[in-house]
Amino acid sequence: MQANALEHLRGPMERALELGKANGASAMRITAHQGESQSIGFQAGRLKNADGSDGMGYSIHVVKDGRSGAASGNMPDMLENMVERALALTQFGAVSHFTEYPAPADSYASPKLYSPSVKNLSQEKQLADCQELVDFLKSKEDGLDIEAGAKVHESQSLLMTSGGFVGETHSGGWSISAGFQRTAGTDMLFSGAWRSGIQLNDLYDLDYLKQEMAFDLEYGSRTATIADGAYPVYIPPAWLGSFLRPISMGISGRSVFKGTSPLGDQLGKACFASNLTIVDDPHTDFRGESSGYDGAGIPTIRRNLVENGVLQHFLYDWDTAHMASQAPTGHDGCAPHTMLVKPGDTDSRAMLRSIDKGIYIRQLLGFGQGNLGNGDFSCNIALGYVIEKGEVVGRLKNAMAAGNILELLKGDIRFSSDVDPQTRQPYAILSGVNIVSRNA
Amino acid sequence: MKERLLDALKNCDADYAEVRFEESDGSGFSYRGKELEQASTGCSCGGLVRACKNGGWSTSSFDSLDDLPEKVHQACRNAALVGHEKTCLAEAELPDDQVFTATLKRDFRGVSMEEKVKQLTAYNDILLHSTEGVESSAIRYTDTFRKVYFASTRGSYFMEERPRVTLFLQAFAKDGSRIQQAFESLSSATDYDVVLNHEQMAADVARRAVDLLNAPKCPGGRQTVILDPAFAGVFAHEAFGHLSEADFLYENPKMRDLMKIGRQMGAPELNIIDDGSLGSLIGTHAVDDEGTPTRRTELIRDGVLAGHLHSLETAGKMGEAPTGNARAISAGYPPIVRMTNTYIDAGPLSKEDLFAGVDDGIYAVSAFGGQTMMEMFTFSAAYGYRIRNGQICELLRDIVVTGNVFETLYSIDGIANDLCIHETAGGCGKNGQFPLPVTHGSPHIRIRNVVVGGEA
Ligand SMILES: [Zn+2]
Repeated sequence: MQANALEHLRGPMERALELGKANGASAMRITAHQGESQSIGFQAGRLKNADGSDGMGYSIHVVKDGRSGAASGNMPDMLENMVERALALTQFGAVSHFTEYPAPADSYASPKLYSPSVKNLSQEKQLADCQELVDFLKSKEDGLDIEAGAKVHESQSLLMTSGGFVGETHSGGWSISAGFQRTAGTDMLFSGAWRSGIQLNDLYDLDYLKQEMAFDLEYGSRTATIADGAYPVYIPPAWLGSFLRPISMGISGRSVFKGTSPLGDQLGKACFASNLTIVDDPHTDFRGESSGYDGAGIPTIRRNLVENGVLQHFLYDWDTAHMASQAPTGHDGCAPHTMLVKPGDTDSRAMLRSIDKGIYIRQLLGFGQGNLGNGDFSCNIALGYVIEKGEVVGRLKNAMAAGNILELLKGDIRFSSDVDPQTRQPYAILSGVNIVSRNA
Repeated sequence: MKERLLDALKNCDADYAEVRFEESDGSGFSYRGKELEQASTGCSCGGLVRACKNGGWSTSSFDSLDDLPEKVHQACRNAALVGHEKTCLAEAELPDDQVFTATLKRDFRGVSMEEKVKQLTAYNDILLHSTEGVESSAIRYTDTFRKVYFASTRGSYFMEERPRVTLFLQAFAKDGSRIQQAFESLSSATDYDVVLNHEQMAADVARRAVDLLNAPKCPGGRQTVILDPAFAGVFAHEAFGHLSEADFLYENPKMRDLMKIGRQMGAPELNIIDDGSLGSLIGTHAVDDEGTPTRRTELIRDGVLAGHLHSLETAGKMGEAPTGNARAISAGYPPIVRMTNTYIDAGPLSKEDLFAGVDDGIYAVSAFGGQTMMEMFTFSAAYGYRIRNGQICELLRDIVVTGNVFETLYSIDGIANDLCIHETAGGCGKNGQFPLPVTHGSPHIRIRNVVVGGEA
């Protein structure tokens, strides 16, 4: 990718801002994005495809006479036409709660989102590494349906507001994954593992992927049952974020203001167990979720969203802040950048050993299909294990887990001292999750 | 356009290559609560070259047709690097210079923004004010008009216009910290006017959100469940339809054995069909995204597995006829095996007979969502009722059912005669391609011994 692939749009974007202003826009924002990626895929245990993609796009937001309009496209010579279309839409009344974008702040954090180290990842290496993962699975067991894949990507974006803010980002990274399907009669086991990152560093770890899949190959071949009832569940770091979604949805300033958040009257209150602290961290280098500013040019801040069980903040983008008469917090869509749980003081393995009877969740199916905004979840345990006396005894099939997350997080919850380097989350135990299974 | 696309493929040395290019234009409006929150429009173009050489595939996406010759070259070169076997693609009757223009009863492109917004505002007033206790609302309206151009090295060419309009209405009710919601959605590929005259539907949505606040949770455990046509249609799609997609089968001997034609799947009354040529529904096209004509495919006939859904490659490798099920959500994505209009066919019973056979059970109505992982499925009803002594009793919330499709199809012990196919605003997701317009349908069906989530 060229060092400044969007440079040719800078002039047209500046002129488009002028055009908007000349036609009565009191506020206007344009973002442009250019990205490219290359990927390879293995199917049925052999190399099957090599794909390349390359594309650009832009989006425009205008405010005129207190009303807003939006337009998007990917044809550079249509930019001015799309500004006119966005302006035309303002007649029909999407309400804007602000009339102008703010002037740029004095300073912004600038987390690194690109590392040249990714250039060292050649297609030959990706092919060899995928092949290694495939060969590992083949050596473990005959008859598995094996997949693997790897990808590198790079993108640039440019944001300009009528407040004079200009933000540029250059990002990129890699990912690698593998998985298998084991079929025996009508019984199927799916397992897979992946890693991704911006820097080519220790995260790129084939041994980790192998261990994860080997675990499921070993324990997935035995089945176990458990009587219907409420049990502690052991949640791996990759799934912890999903269990925090009722909180991230509930602290949206927009939901709070519109009355659809169950946390709307909980600010400053101890609404969760006292060992729950959740950090919003937009500033760590080489993390895809990091950013120094939001879409209006408001600086982002690292902060605790929940501290020792007490809800600390609702989140406001520029428009919602005006609607709710609150200060903007630097959150596009009123959503947090991260929801990192503060680790506890017990090692994850010791935590697992402490469970007398419970479930180790590896994969859930249909997690978001319930009334998650309310905290309710009810889903299939696609891959889960029964734990007895601290040991994984076998796979639990045809079972559902259900409960209310906002309630569960008030109760007995525990977090491990070790943190997964990919998600930066600890392992967790939630107590009192309802388990119903067909084979009990 | 035809010459331009075919020309670009001329010097291609792959065993097979195709170009799809798409121009798309659309608009959308959304309400959340009292305010119209978004008015947006979009206009874009782009495409994808896909090439196959020695069994290896490569795709290359692009925004501008100016880049096409280079992208064709790239895709052909990469496919050759990947492939190490014999290319095997089915022969199909291919379109030659076919143009499928959309015939819209009333074209949404001729309806003013003002009129669209006025209609949504009227619905929003009903959602917010027709029932005491409604806290907020959400409405989403979208219309898109896509023109898809296709050419392949087999010399085929087509252009198809693909219009779609969607409407989604939702109400939220709140009591203290408890929030419940209800919704309905609809979609059409033929007429703007399908979004009109739903005042009663909006009022019902508002009423149901409030009623659900006081509804008890569905009891967990193994239950007899009657699915309404909307929910049963999602079941047919999620639990069984995805398993019929031959890309999950063709290179996996164990899966092929499991899904072998002739396998007994359920009672003789059970028939499941996928039909991409049915009427002019949102899942209907003349040809699929490889140019294969769509058709009616019986997946289960009289309780026995009767067919699979195919792309050119899966049909070629399984030695079956292509079915016209290779579809992509947009021209930037490769076509993969997908469903179109999938339904359980009408059975012999009346709806009343079905209920009469249930002393204690659950009536699950309208789908909230669903997900599948081959033989495992899970999906949730938007709402439902307790059935006692064959009578529909109190409203229930949070109804989620799960199971193994093979066991569950066998557990269907009653199929009514009231087949109904639904066109909703959502779509199907697979391999990162979402939402693909599909429909699903069914009559009321009754299933014994289903696992229902919740407190036991
Ligand atoms: Zn689907």
